[in-house]
Amino acid sequence: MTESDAALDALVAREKQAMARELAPPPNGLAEVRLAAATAVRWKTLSYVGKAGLIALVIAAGTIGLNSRNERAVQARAGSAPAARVEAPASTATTTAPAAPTALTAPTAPLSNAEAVPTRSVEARATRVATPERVGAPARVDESVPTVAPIPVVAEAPHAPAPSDSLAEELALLRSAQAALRSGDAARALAITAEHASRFPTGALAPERRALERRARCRESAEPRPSDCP
Amino acid sequence: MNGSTATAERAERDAVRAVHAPAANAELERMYKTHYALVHRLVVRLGIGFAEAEDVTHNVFVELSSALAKRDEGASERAFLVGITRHVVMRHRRSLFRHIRRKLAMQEHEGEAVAADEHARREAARELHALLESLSEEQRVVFVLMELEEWTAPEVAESLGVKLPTVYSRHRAARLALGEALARRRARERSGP
Repeated sequence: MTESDAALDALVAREKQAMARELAPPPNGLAEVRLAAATAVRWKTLSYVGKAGLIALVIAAGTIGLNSRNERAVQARAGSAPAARVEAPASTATTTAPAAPTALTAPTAPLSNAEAVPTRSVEARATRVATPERVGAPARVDESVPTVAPIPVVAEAPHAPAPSDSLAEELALLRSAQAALRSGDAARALAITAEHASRFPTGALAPERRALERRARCRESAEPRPSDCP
Repeated sequence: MNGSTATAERAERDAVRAVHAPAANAELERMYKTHYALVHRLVVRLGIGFAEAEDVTHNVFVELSSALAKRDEGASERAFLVGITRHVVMRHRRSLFRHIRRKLAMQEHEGEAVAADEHARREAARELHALLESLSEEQRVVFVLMELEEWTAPEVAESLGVKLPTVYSRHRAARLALGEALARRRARERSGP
């Protein structure tokens, strides 16, 4: 046996001794596995939505750029006629489906209707309806800002899928709690798990919620050494 | 576009339901309790840092939950797990995003309050793990299974789906490469900073 063989064997023996301590599965480990399964697949879904949002944003930007020119032309033809603001259909502002596809499929107003032409900046509205931040997140109704009639769009995408079922809602809640916990905000994580508990007391992801709760409580009580917690 | 989103959402819900199905649950729980330590050791030895090892170990069992249905009943359970572990570890290491996360995790680990004995234990293992980085993945897994997990060569051959002479050949090459890497390291240490 050469000198390097002997040195290697010594190193191997040392490593084995170091790694010999039996590693018991962490408490609630199985619940962690389930949560990881949920979030891992969710990430794939989000990437699809993200791609969809990005493509929709590009199409919307191009479309709105074209319509902006049309709008200016219509306004020029309409002269000083007052431009009325028209409430947009509720589906434009309140959809819980990915916002970008909905923006593409929103009912349209006839371009020739000069009274319905908005006075707000079209670009600003485009930002409001199709920013990536809104994709995949529940849209909020902004009561204080009157919405405007949708501009006709060139691309006609199929309608967004129906709102996801309670399992998807559970996933979304627990993912938020997990994100809060990772960012060190245990109190927020606890608030979200409490919301989950009240909305889905016997939900499919209840074990995952309990695991998150325990971790959040541990982190809260272990300050200033939260790294002691799982 | 929306069709693919809907498909992905359906796949997500199906995966979660599969993990929550009673039969899958029982089998997953049994394998989790039986093999957690083995998978955790393999994950570390195949190149995932201690800071990330638990997360990656869990990912192995996540993959396992969906792979259980496809498992060949005649195949060894440990061999099956090694295959999944290799796949998960390689995917993890390939990803640039994961690489950045690993760096961050290591930085976090430096400031982390780890118990003194745990720190010493990890340090003792790290020297060999650093040397293992000089091997190809194929050589590394053979070395880990034969030298560190003390599997026999036929067991390794079955697990990796390769012929026995291939296992011996990879093992020999791995030992040679590690011996040389160790000699270089010792020479650097002797020559000082």
